[in-house]
Amino acid sequence: MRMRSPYRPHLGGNVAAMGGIDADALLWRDAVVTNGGTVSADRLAIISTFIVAEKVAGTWALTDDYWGFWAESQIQALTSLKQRRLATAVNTPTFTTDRGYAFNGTTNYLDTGFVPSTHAVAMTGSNMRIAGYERANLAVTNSYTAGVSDGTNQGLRVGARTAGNVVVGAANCPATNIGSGIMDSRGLTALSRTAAGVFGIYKNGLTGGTAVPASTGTVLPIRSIGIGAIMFSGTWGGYRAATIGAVMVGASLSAAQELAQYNAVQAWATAVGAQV
Amino acid sequence: MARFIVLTAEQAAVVRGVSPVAKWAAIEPVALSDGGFIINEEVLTDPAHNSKTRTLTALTKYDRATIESRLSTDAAIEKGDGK
Repeated sequence: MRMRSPYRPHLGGNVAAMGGIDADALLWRDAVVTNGGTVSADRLAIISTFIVAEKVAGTWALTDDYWGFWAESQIQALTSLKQRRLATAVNTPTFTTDRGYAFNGTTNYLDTGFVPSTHAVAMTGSNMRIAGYERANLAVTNSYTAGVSDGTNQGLRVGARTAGNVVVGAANCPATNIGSGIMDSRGLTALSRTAAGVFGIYKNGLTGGTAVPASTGTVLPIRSIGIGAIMFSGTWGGYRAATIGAVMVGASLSAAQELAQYNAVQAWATAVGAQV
Repeated sequence: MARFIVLTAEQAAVVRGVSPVAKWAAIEPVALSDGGFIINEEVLTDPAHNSKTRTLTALTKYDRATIESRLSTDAAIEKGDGK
């Protein structure tokens, strides 16, 4: 099925003239090719539509990077959308075309190569966000959808659902439970710390609660963001037997932008048949 | 059910690293509490790692329950969920 053109005249320089495809989508396509992969015309249009939606919502500028694992190939999946960084699939997580990666909860994960202290642009040590889209419901404690931790007050991580039915995570604070009655890990779970110091979660674009952590820090983590497990002060752990379709990191979003990004991510997932 | 093979430190050193044919794939054996290492058996049949793992395919595979008590990595993880 052909996708409708994502061309939006009012975006001016954000959209390239070439077939109405967003300029950043074309750069991502080129990076995938450089990495040894290919991108179909239909998939490029889907990516372009997503990026344009993000730009319209103002969330593109606030998000430092995106990984869409519901891709046509592993090379596509592992080439991040914005910084166009090639992640590494460690110990063969199971990749399914147009769906994402399934992890075993014991040994495998993705190493994104995104190091907050080096690669953050919008994210700061006191304004940070991480979000992951899980495709299978999973309630496991001490396991993380994505993130990194370099110590009690230096880390960014989110686990979409614990055995206690809360979201667990940290944004330069200790691991903190947020929300209650989280009975489904599926969909987009975002954890953020706003510039105003609010620690909160959003589930599928809607607020899921806030928390006051025991302590806080402001120094960005110095190790790479993991997916399906996290790097914890130099050792991989927190393995999560999750099925993950997408992850994004950056600065916090407003409530309206959280909903807008969820809608854009869900539209992206739906376009490839990966929505839950 | 997922299965794993147990490696010695020497075997782990041989297979560790980025694939020579796929720069986006790597093997990183996970340390056990007793000094051994494990990798999941899917690694052994991943074309990206054929050149490194073909000598390991004959080794015995174990299910997760069998190696559970030897896993050590999660002990280092700061607890959430009410802890």
